[in-house]
Amino acid sequence: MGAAPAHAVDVFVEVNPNTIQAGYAVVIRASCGDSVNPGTVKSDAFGEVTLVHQYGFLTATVTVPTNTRPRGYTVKLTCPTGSSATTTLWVVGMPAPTRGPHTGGGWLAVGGGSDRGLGGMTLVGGGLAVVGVGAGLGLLLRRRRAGAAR
Amino acid sequence: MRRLGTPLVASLVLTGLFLAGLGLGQLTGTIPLPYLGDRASARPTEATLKPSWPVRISIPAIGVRAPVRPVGLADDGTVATPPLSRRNETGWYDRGPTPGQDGPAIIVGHLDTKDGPAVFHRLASLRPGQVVQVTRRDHKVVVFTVDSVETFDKARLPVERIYRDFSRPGLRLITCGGRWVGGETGYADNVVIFASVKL
Repeated sequence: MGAAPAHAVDVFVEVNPNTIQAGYAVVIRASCGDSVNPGTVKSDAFGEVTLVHQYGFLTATVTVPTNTRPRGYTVKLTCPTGSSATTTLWVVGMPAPTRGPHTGGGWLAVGGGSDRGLGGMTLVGGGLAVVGVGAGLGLLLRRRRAGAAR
Repeated sequence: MRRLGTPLVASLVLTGLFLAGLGLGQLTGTIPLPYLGDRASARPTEATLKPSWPVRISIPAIGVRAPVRPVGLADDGTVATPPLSRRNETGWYDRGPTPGQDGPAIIVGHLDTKDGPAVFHRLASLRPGQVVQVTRRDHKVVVFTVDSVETFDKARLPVERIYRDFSRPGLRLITCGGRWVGGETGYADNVVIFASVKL
């Protein structure tokens, strides 16, 4: 996952994850093609960092400072050859309240009905009514038959 | 009429019993009615997306189809909720990631209002593997799969698990649950659905 890599003949940079809470770290993964010397990555979100070779890519782990303003930041790779690539890192500043949201009015708790109430109630009522009509009709027919037999 | 009589009576009684049985099943939760809404013409998206605000949420398994509007923080520091008068509306916490970006998008909805059930009143009956579809302003539909359904004391939410996992596009649906204690608290617990995009 992470931001869509910006490819240009083997020169690309991506940030994983592509969105981060200010104060947390992200991993940069890049390539400068065949270049032996590592490139540098620059962004207003974390400053400048020189990448290191790891597992066939150029990488670095950077921490986005806590006070970083929430928005999208351009992340630019510059290779020793002069070629470059960019991607975007989105920073959020998301307070994480320990207290949960007030998501109830109380109707279900004060006997407003079970959560499947309406549909079930209607079906039970309707069903019993149909049974009643059937039984009534049955009785009527029986009485008629008895009348006719007399 | 006479020849028709007996079969008619029998079929009426049987149909009635069937309906009543179905109703009882509904009431006790043993026979859920199938979701009859449309199957949202959702096409899953492949990778992590750029930000775009969510506008609609659909949860076929529990018959939810609702608008999503941004909410911030309430005066007491909790995530704000839509007004109780809009029972079918959900709120997306606009300080966090949008659905489809890496990180946990948070959508809150009421369990009930003062006089009736609300949009998330069946949230706790969701099961792992069921899907939640969120439509964004850019018309992309992000399909999340439920990982777990959990209940926490409203005063002690697990902050790291709910708000701080940025390793993938995630979704947290939050509503109320547990005992009604009234006052400022309302219900004692929060029901939280943890979901993520399966690639």
